[in-house]
Amino acid sequence: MNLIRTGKAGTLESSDVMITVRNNPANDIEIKLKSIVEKQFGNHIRSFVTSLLEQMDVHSVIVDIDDRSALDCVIRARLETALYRAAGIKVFRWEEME
Amino acid sequence: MAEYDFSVETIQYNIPSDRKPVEEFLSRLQLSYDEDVSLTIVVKQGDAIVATGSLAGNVLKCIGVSPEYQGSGLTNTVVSRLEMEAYYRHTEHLFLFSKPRNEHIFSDLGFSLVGKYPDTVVLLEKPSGMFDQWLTMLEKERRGEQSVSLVMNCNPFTLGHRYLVEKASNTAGEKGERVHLFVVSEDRSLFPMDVRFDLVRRGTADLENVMVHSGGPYIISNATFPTYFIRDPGDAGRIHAGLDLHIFGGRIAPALGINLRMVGEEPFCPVTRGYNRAMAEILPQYGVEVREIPRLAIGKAAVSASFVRDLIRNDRLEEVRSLVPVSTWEYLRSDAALPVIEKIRKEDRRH
Repeated sequence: MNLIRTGKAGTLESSDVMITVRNNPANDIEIKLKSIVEKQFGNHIRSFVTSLLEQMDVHSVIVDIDDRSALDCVIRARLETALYRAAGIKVFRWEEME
Repeated sequence: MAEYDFSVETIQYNIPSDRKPVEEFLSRLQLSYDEDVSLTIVVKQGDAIVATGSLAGNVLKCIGVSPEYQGSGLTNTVVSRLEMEAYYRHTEHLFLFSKPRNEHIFSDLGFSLVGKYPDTVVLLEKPSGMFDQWLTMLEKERRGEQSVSLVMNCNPFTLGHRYLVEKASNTAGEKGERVHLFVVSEDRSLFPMDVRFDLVRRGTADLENVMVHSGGPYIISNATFPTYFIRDPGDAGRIHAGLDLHIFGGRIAPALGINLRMVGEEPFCPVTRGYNRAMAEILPQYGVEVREIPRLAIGKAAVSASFVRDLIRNDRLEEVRSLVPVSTWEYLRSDAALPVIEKIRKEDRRH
């Protein structure tokens, strides 16, 4: 997936997460996590997001995560939306996302 | 938060009946409702405003939450909404003004510190770390321990600017140092940013030790100094000038080893004069000397960009020739300059 602009999705409300993705000039995956449950789940969130990026074929990205203790399914939904926005994809191929 | 039944709405900030309640709400919190906002949202419970926040271009400001509701996450609601609104307007690099005591609230939401005017105001940005990135890029232009700096809008580049740059170049040159010349990059002047930048580049190309940089969003920008671009900013102008200079002295000067900032004397414009005064007060605190240089006079008058614009406005373009370098003159005579000249004739703007 090719990121042509910044993508952003989510909110900063409790139990949600705001995710911003942009192309990484260093051609690498960089995850910048800020979470109120960093101590408990920081490592889990990082590896979860990394695996989602791999699944979606994204290899050059800076991901800013402002987490307010979102569940995995929420993180996934926000990340996918942010990436689609960044890639300029407006038609979702839902069947491919499972 | 459903039990509180909050509603979030956008108000018509330019309609007095919409504006007034926000103004009153903010003034109860000792906050002002700035003139330059381009979007305002309010959180209401019933008819009462319990929180608000605004967007002025890429800057989040005038954010306030009623004391009874502080700690219930309304700041998050306001900031989320403003952030997404900014995103839909294709604004990706955000700034935020806050009181220093609230800095931690916003740093929890992903904003990081750009600079502060002690006890008065802090400027934060998101994505975090952009300022550090910008400074790292600048540092590559650093040679040696010390250097001289200039900051100019150059609207357009005149012989007055050239005179000041030459002074700086000679002063630095005597000690084998560089001059870092920052061109204000906010596109709110009559001459567009890329034209101003290009004319400075061409007008100083022969001065080997002069490096021309864009001021980016960190020097006299909509974020660091929003009131620079309006005519009579009052007290806010003093605060913004101070903020801009604390950022320069605290972060930018150390990155490039700047220990001298040279500036032209300002006989006309009160905002620039106030800025120069604040400069002499604040920069020495960071070990940066400030040297004011008298303006170059040709004939009886001091050469200034505003005088050049006045001549253009009054159809006296031919008289500009003796006040600007050849490169600026060539541009003014070119077809590319026609729309700009047209704009100058129609508008009377401060910068």
